[in-house]
Amino acid sequence: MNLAEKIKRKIEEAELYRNQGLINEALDIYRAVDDMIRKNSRIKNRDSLLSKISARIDILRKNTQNLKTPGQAPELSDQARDLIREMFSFDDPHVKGSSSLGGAVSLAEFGQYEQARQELESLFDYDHLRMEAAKNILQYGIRHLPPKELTLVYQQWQADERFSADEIKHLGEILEQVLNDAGRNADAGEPAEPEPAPAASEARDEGLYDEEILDISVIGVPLPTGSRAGEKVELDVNFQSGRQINLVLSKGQKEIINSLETGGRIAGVIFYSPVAIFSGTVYVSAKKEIGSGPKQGDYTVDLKILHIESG
Amino acid sequence: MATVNLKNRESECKIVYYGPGRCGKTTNLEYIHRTFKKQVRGEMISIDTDGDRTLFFDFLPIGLGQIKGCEIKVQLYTVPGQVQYRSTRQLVLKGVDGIVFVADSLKVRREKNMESLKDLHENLKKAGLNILRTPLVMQYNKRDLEKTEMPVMSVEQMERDLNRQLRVPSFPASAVTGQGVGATLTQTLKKTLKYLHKEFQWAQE
Repeated sequence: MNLAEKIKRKIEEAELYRNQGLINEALDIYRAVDDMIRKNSRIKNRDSLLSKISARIDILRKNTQNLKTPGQAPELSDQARDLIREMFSFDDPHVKGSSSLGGAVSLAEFGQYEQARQELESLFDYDHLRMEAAKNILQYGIRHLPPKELTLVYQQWQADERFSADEIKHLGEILEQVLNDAGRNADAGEPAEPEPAPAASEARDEGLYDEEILDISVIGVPLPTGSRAGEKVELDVNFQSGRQINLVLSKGQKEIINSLETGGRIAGVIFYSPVAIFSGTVYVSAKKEIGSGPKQGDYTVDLKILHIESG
Repeated sequence: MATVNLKNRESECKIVYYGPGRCGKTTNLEYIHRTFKKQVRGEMISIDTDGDRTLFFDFLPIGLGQIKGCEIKVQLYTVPGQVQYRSTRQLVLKGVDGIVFVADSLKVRREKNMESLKDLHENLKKAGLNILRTPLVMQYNKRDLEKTEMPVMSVEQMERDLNRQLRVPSFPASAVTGQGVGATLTQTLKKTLKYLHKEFQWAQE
């Protein structure tokens, strides 16, 4: 394939990705094409091509920036709100009015805070729902209102006769806790909360791979030595027992076999499992030529997973 | 979790279309909405952004009629595929009964497929569900691109990447042409209803 055809094919590929909404993928291809053209001064209409591609890259770059910064949750139609109230609230059938509370909380979970707040405030008249409604206003409020404004909301309740002194005191403690938590998150440099906000009870599920090594089908190994050093090769796993992995490499894969030296540690290995992809470090514990049978002359390589990073 | 009304012999279950961004989850639902008019019980509701990406979810209610004397209603949902909407996916997964995992056949999306399957695994775990026990069907979408010169993975490779250990039913599909869409949904419904039948014994003969 000559260069012109290659460029044409690449542009078609980039356009397909763009049409599919795969902006980053399209951008990568356009950048590669740009590079290809810049390196070759004999291309006809080189400057015009470069300018067209550069314009495409600019548009795509702007699109990726828009994707990276999700905006506020949009104002939903009544139909969509009704659906959220109906489908995402999990009510207690034994508590009268819990469906209204559940519906309002669902709206808050989907970023419809102002509407949710109005509906929660309308529940203040019911003794058994008042505190729960107020708590949710504070807990979801911190994701939508500045701390000062949320404090103002609480201060208005202090003047509201429907709340008892004990209730106000308890809500004050909740507000303090909510503000402290938000402060801690800000100190830790957590990114701005995308919409909708995660559920309050959400906790990061860590340690999955510390507890158990999932079944690994394929590993991606950056070759540590040799003429192909640094190149990542994907190798099928022949057998796995916990952290021990066995590979069978055909005699034709000489460069890979030589690169995997017994006793060597290899970082940046990617482990592909049907339910996860994760990375880590392996130790080459054994390498042996198969002496007999149909795979005679091939090599068997044992690797031990030393360290797992998150996926 | 499905709702079962023994008195009225009615059951309603929830199927969620899961997968990486732009893999064709919404397109699946749109095709079902257009094509299976007899089964569709209401409007399809989509909450998306200007760029046509699902922001919260799509929703389509369908009805299967009576099975063993029990009226079966099904809610079909999609999740937003973009990585940053993880908490929305967790919300939409609440109470799920069956899942269609839509994988993108484009080579450049190989890692995204795997990441999304991992995300599903973790989100199900958070919801107290096990991916190995939840009714699940794989769909390898965008097979229509095989006819072009675009870099597309083979079905065998996708099976190896995504389904080697799960060993769930899988279907090559093209949500834009409709190929495999009905088969995927039918198989998911079969698996889900069989599972629910076992769980609830709602349709005692």
